[in-house]
Amino acid sequence: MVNLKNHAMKKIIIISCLVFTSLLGYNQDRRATETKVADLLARMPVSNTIELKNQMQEMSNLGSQGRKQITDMINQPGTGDDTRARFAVESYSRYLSEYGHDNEKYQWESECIEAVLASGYPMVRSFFLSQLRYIGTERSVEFASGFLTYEYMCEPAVAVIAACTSQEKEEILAMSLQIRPFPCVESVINALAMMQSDKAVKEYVYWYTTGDKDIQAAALNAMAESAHEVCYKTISSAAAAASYKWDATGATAALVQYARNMGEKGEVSTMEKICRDVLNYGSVQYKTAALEALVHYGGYEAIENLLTEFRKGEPEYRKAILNLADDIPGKAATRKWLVFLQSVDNTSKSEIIDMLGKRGDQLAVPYINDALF
Amino acid sequence: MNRDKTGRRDFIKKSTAAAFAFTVIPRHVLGGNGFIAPSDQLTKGIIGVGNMGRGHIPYEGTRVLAVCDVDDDHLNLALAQAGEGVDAYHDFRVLLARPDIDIVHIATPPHWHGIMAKMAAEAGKDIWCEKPMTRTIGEGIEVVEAVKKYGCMFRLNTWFRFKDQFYGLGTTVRPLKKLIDSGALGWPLKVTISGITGFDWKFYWSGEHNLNPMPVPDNLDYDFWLGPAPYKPYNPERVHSKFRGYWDYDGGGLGDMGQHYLDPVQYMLGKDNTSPIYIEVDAPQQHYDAVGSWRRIEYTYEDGCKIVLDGANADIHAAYVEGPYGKIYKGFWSDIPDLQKLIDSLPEPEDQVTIFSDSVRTRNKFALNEENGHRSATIVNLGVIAVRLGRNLTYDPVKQKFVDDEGANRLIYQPMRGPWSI
Repeated sequence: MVNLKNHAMKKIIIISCLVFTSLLGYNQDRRATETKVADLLARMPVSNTIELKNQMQEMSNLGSQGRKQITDMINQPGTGDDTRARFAVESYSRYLSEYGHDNEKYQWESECIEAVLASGYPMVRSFFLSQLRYIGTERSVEFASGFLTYEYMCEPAVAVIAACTSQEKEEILAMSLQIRPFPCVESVINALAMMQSDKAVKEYVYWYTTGDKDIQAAALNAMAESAHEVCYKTISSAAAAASYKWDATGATAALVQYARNMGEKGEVSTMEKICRDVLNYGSVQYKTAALEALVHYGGYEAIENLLTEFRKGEPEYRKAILNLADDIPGKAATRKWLVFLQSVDNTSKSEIIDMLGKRGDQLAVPYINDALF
Repeated sequence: MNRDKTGRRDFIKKSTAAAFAFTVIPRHVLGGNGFIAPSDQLTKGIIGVGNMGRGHIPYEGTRVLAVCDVDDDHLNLALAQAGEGVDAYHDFRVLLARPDIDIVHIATPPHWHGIMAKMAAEAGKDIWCEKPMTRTIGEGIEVVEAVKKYGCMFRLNTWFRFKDQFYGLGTTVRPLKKLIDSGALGWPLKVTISGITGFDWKFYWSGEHNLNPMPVPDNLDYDFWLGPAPYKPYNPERVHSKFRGYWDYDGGGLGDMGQHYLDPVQYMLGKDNTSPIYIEVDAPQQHYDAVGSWRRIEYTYEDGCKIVLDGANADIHAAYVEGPYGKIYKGFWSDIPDLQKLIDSLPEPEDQVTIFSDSVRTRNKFALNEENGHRSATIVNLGVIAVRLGRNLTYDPVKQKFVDDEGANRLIYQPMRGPWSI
């Protein structure tokens, strides 16, 4: 009995000692981490890129627990000096955004996501969201999408989604446009436009018809970039309503861009039809842009457009056309200009000769010589 | 409200017709030498009328019709300076909508330059833009495309590639260009820009850390001032004469003076169509919000030419331009014998259009236009990104992207706060 008691006592004592030692160890570890963190932060900002790299490796070695001590120090602006912690957090994101560091990047992404969730302050949350712009992956896109409906978090969330490489982001942004009301609809539409997305064309049209001028401008631009046939009627009506002149929604610019993108898709006849409308009714800059699209996608085939427009154009427009003539190189085009030269007045003749001189095609030399004497 | 109906297009029509008409009485006889009748003047709207914008109200051959600013105090000062008949706007899009304005002068902080330049091109305006041309490389790419697409004329407002003594060089760039083009210095060349070679990097444009939120003054529409930049609480350090110190709006001393110093170098080296391929940086750790200083940024072009920005003035013997056969130092001193005689014997560089109103009237590209301006702004922005990230970078000047560095590529186009986009 006594032996058993002694044995049990011994066991308890040994376990107690082990627990005590491990607790001591834990506390020592924690104090050691705290010391390392304090030491790291005390040296910030470091004075050169070599020290910075070493310091970032130290930050990596701190582990999640150590880095959490740093992320916990980030305050709402105006509530304390967190300069060194911000140096540490941002520098680590920048460091990891370099090629490689895949495991650390993955871990840091998780920690920034946790830090966003842990804070109740929008400015702290947006600071951590902005870290994801450097290193974020699909996970960040999915995570940021959860903030799209929050008024103060929508913009930084869209910025994360726009910056990160992701297969899903187009789908996520497109779906979000079905939520109404929506706090930063222009930013989402702009992000989709950057991707030339056609996944939300019906939503573009919806927001165009219900939104203010800013939303209309974003929607028209996104419709143009989508090059989707569903958008044609809306964009062309908007441009016609603006009399093919500039307005704050950028309707005519959107129409010309839509034409360009249709050309890019190989829908040349639609592009040509739109360009003809713009050439008939547009102001000079849009006519120039329409010609530029015709030249870009039609090449030599577009030279008749240049000649026709040159004949009816005012001086500024004629000069823009002659600048575009450079984009149709080759002797066949030079010959067209030389024949055309015979049929225009002296003012236009001098402008064309100037262009031919700059073009440097030997075919034009006799004509230029004749003009000189 | 005074809305002059005679715009650039009418003027070009008239002047072209006049060029072929027999002029009996020269105009200056009626109005004095240098006189340009109001109806013949190009019309201008200025966006951003802080100190820089107000400095451009009087400009020979142009007449200001409108000014625009999101700070009412700036607008009032500009109106007082501009005199009668000038309209004031809060929203630049209202100014762009005026058909009687020929030239739009963009004198806002750089985070607006790209957006406004692109919209001005869409509105058919010719554009005079302050440096740096754009705050990001991506915005520059978009401006180049828009200006070409809509056929406008663009002038970036730095001028040392075609006039004025070039800081401590004691000369214009022209004789240097002649010398370099002749091969007298050999190839490849190294250009050092530092206090030692006659230039001053303004590191006082470093931002403050830990800005406390403060109430927005009544005269300022801070949200519009921020525009595409991420929302951060107002502090006077961010705006007006202090904005250069923050990544969201500019790039510190490099953003401020970089294009002044680098554009002529790009011209001299004949690099108007390309960009450096390596960027090496030596700088302190940078803050998340405030731009700091740097010691050295070294750019290398594909052919081995180098541009060294020596912010620490570490190389006390540095020549401004150094080639295998000779060196040019501050004050245009050189180790090449009979330098001036040699320069006099060399052919002149190609002529450039150096008066913007001529460019607008003749539709010939200005000397420093959207294309070469974008390339010299790219040198600035490459340096800004390298300093910000604290690492060396490799760049592809054709694709206009960094090589094997996704983090750096994410800074080429940076997300914009709605409704703004480019």
